[in-house]
Amino acid sequence: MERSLSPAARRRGVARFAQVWARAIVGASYPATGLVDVEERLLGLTERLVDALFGEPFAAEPAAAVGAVVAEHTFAAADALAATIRVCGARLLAELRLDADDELAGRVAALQGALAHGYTRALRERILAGQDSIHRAAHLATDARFRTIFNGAAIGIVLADAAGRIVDANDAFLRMLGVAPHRVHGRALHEFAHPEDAAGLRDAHAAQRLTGPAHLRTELRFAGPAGATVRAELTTSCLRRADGRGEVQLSMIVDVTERHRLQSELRRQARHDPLTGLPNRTVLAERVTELMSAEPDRRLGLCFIDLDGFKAVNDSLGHDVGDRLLVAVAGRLTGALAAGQLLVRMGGDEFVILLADTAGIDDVTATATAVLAALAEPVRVGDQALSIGASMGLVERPATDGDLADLLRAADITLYQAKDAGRGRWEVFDAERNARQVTRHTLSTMLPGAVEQDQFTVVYQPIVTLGEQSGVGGVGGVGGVMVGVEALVRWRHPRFGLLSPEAFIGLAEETGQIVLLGRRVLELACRQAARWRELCPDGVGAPYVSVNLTARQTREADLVDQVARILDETGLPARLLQLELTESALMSAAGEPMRALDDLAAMGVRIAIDDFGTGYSNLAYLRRLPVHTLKLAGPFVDGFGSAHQHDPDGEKIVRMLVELAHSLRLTVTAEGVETAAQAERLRQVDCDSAQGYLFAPPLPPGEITRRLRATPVGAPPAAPSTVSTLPAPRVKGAATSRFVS
Amino acid sequence: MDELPGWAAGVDVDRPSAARMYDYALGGSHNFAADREATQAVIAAFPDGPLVARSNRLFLHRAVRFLAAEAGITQFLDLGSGVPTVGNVHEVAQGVNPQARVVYVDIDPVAVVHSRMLLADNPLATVLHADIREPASILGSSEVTGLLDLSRPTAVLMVTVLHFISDGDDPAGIIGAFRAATVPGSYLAVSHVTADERAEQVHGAGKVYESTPTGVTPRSRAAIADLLAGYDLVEPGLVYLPSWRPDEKHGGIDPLADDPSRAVALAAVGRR
Repeated sequence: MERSLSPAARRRGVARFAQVWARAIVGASYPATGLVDVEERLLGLTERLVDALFGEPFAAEPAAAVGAVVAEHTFAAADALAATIRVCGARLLAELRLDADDELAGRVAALQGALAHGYTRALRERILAGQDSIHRAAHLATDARFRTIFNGAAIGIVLADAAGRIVDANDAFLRMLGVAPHRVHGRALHEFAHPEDAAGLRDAHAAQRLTGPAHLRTELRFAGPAGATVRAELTTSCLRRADGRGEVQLSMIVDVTERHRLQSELRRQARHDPLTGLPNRTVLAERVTELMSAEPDRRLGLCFIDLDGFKAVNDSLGHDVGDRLLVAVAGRLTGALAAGQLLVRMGGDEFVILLADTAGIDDVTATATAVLAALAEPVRVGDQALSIGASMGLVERPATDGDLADLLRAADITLYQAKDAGRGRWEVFDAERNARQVTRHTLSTMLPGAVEQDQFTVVYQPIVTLGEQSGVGGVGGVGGVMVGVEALVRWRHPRFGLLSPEAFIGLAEETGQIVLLGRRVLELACRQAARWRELCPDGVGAPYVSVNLTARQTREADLVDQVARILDETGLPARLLQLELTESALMSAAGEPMRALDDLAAMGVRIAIDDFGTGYSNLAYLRRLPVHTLKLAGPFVDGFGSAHQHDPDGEKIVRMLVELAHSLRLTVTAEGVETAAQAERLRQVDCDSAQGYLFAPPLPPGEITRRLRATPVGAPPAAPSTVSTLPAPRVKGAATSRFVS
Repeated sequence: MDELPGWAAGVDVDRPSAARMYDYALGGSHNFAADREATQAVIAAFPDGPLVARSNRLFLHRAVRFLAAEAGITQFLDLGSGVPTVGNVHEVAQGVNPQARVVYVDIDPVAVVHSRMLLADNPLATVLHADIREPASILGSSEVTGLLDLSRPTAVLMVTVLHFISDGDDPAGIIGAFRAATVPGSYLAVSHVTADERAEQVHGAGKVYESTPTGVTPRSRAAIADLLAGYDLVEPGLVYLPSWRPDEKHGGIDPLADDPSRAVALAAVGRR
């Protein structure tokens, strides 16, 4: 194809097109440079397009290169390409002042196609390169962040490969162990562990890479800088490949050396006496518990030491000298210890030496001898030479005999026996002697607290009528109607369990605690009796409650007021309270009956003489006393045994006593009835009522309540007309008048 | 360890960043799907978005050219520089004066790493990963103290960045800190989104930015003027982007030249 286009006309045409093209592109996109630069660049590109337009033979490909250059220098690509295609189609031939014949139009179209092709191909490359670079930047940024965290972390982080070789370790780890990075790479973590922990770690890590677990947590020691030991908590996580094999092991290591040191220091402080540095009773308890939970045939010994004369030193020379003396004594005692013995300061001037695996008491006495020898020489404190002795209680027994408290109590009691026996000596624990004395000693110290802490409970033994028939097989069991109950106190001792009055009433009487205790029992009993009364319609059939008073109580100036107040507070009618006194308690020191009894009787309270017949039984006073009931002591009843143990004299005495009582308008209650034969004979001698295991043992209040509910209303002594289906109790009319008075 | 923890797995790629959204709006390919989605959302609310981006970029181009060619500035501190695009500050400035020095600062770690890759062979330009809300850490950084001499006039560029700083972060205090650190004869170039006109569109677009780490805070002309206290604004003062010293010859054709307020951002260059 030949076209007549002069060089000048062509140059002008190219310049015009470049100008139009530049405006189109610059207006449609964001070019790197200003219009001037773009126009200059497009001038060259237009030349190449015009070359192609007139090329013979015609080839459109050069336009693709032009398109690539345009793409390279423009942004907002779609707009720039559109502008370029549009301007080529609309203006190329026009600016060259050519007529658009079919062939030229076809060539322009081909050029446009190639241009778009070249532009697009270049743009694609540019986009892909841009994406590559931004992804690489993101990766690097993430990596940089990771490295920042990795190296800034306060905990050690170690990354190991599939063979357990360290590929990366952070600064914290390197600092922790005081090693350089090049010494770590390629080695395994266990190589840095303490020799005793290395093999375990190696095996655990190898196992984790093979089969798991995903997370491994352990505490171990590392070999730290300059031979120091670093205690560390280690957590290793394993990243697995698809085939399940460990690919990466990530270990986090926290230095807990300081925490350990503090903990052990705290533990030491909690377990040691700050003055002497000796272990304290906590350590003793641990060690004893350990021995006790060991094999059953182990034995142990305890030497409980109390310094003689220490208090005098403390008081006369001051606490400072006292403290220094204790430190010196601790040193002496430590020197006297044999292998395997534990010396403990219990507090004050008390020390304990614990012997494990003793063969017998001789081991402990040997230790006691050594202690006395160690203290034989006066102890120097400053310029004072102080003579100090020791008393000791020794115990030796199978480790499994009792608990630590038992052991210490035994040693303590024995120590006091040694003190009592004259100091500067030891005593060996005697279990039998202890059973007698320990309990008494321990209980007397515990009694006041027990009253305060309300450790006492009251149980109730039913008192039943002895009817016309023996009542065997009656509705309520053996015996007749339950007309009353005797209140019996029990000490629910936190360590010894339920104690009966014999164990502590004497003590309470001696120490005066009986006053508080007695008042407490009276309150409990009256409150309970009032509740029972509420169970009975109109109070009919309510049992009276019989409460024991000791001699000490009857001598309390305000006894009458106390009883009145308690009756008032509990709402119990006076007639449902019976006070039991022994013969001795009834009489004043001058041999006169207690004035208080008259007042109590006047209130309507019943008075019973307990254990009648066991004192000197001055029958004369019976006439003058406001007494309502005689309680026959067990020995009389014992004589009423079975047929082949028949005691005719005993029976005569009882018959006589009952007749005497009835003649004085007193009722008689027999105590300690255990057999049906006894009950039958008592009935035959007209005894009014009885209590004992034959009928019921002392029962908790709930059981009495249950019996009251189960049994149809019984007959109160004062109201025989209300007797139910049970055989009517035989009630002495004279006594009846007393009851209601 | 079943998978990499989040902090190591590239959260940046999954969260749109203002820097990469800007790149996409300009037609760049240095962005991720999250950026493109967010930008499309902006465009849906505000169809002029790409044109505004271009207008803004043209202003930066003209401002740097003015500072380098007419004000004789040879040191540039570009705060909120974003993803490197064609016509970066160092290209324009060094096109005028090959000895011009530029420190870029951005909060987006990816933009920073990308810039660092681009600038690897350019000893007179560097990039710092920092938050412009902490001027002291920027001014004291080895990048700034090593490349710039703040005892000589320096241009601080806050182009398309102040509206990413909420009032609670004290933009005036930030500008004041940079002003105090530069000597008289130094310059400040600012462009800032305003909702004085076309408020609905601006706030609609602003909502999209709530999902970016920075958010967006348009300000009134008066508030923007207050931020420029202490600077003498060169002609023509505080104007819409296309109206600031248009220069087709060197600075390209602003698509919003015929209706400047469509740019929804005001621009100014001030001398200290």
